Amino acid sequence: MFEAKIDAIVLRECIESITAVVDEGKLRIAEDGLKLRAVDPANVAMISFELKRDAFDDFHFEKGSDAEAANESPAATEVGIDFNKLQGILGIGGSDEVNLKLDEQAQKLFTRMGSLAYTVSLLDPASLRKEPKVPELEFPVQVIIKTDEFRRTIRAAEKIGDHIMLGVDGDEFYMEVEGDMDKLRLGLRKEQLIHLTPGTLHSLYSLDYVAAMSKGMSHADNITLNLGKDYPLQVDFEVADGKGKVSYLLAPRIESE
Amino acid sequence: MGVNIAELVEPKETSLEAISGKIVAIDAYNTLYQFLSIIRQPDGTPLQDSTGRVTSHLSGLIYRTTNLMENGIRPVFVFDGKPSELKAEVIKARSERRAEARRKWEEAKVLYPEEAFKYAQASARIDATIVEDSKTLLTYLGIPCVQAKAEGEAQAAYMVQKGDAELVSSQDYDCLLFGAPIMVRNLSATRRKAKPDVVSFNELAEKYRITRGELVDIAILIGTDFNPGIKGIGVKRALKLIKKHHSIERLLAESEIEAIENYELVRDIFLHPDVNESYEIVWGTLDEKKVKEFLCEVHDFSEERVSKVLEKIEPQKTLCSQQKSIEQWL
Repeated sequence: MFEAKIDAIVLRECIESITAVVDEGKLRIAEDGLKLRAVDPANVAMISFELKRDAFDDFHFEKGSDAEAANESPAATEVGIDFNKLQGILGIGGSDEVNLKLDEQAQKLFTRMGSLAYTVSLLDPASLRKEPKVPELEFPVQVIIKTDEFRRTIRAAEKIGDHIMLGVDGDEFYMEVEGDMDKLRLGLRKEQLIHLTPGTLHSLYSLDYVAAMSKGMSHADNITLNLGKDYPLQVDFEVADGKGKVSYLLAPRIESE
Repeated sequence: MGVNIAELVEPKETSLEAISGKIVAIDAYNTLYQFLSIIRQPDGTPLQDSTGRVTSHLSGLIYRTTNLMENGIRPVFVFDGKPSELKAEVIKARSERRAEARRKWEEAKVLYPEEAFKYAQASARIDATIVEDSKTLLTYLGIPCVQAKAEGEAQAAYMVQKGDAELVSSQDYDCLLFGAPIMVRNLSATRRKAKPDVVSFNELAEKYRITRGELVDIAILIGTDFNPGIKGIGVKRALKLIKKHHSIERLLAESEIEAIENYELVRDIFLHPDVNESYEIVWGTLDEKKVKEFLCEVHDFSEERVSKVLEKIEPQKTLCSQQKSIEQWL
């Protein structure tokens, strides 16, 4: 049994952070909150999403009595959700609060926003991609930057090229994109950033993905970029006033001849 | 020059676009010789810098080779090594012909200028400076140079056999005898003059139902750079004889021919050429500054023209990269 009440803006922010990478996924509902880990269909990006129960105004979860008693892991249930669809509905909700109620038997999620009731059919978890493993990565460099600054650069970069280079050169963090004709570079010194591990490295990423991700992080004040040389990019940020955490992982493009 | 089996081959017209993306092993001496004989002033004087050094070959390399690169073709230049002793005769004859042509050219310049260009062309020769200059320029352009042990064409054919290149570029057909599966001609010619064409050894072999060994024997009968051939035997006759008897040994046994000097040695040169097996193809990068220094400052090329061609072959600014899968890190 799962029943919860949450601020509509908070829920929208969460869903938007998910749809930046995947349209659908297996949402894990447990006593301590919601979790999701999913890889995009092209196997290029991954999202890890976590929302604590205290992000909700109301949160009730009980594992159904018919569940295996011997289950050692904390009781949880997994539901397949089309986040894209949910996001569309939330957009027209116009209410302050959203009520959620899960009917596992019927495989439906009932959402109510004020007088608008919406029944979402759940996706068969078996039809969804397997949850990816937890990556074990070590990033030599970490940069914390104001989200607005990052997003503004990405918006400009999109007009110029397809790939973006993120790198650190000594005390400077830079974002660079080169098109056929033009070139754009944002260089920020340590003092212009919230945090920077000095180093010398860079990786190249598909701008399509970075741009999609930048939409998903729009509500966070700051983002943490974890970087390496020809290495995935991990972007961490908070949602729901710090009661939720999102990590995006994006595979690099490797320069070749 | 080279073996005259033109009557047998049926080159198929192609285009630079069709060869785009392919690695072409270019017979360097063959190409340089073309540049030196063709790229001349109307009275036959080769291009020269202000100190009188010949620059026709450099002009060819910078303008025509870059044209290949602009079309996505990846040239590798293969330079001749030490010629076979059997070639001494031909080399001597060529050098005599050149000297004669040079004399006639000087004469023609004064007496009948319209003939001058022809003689000038025939007087073209490759010397050590020309080879060195060419290698220097190619290196600055980022084009690999490979040193053959003996014949450049043999080395080029070997590289194609090994799969390190896809075509041999040469004007003469010797490379087929050396085992090139496919060759292309007229690569460095201006488009207006001659279209590139390709010859596939397999097609040739199937058409006449002959093996490479038989083709080599045909060549030996009519004459190659390594032997004079038999007087009175042309391509057609040679083809007929070999198709009937399959080898020079049998021709001798059947008394179709009386004697032919060194045929086994010559055959060996073509079928088992002395090649550099440990060659390396090193792709460099264009060094614009050095190219300009070498051509414009040392050899008086127009900076404007050189800049223009270099622009065309400059590596693409946009990075060539490949998207990795995230799974690699999970």
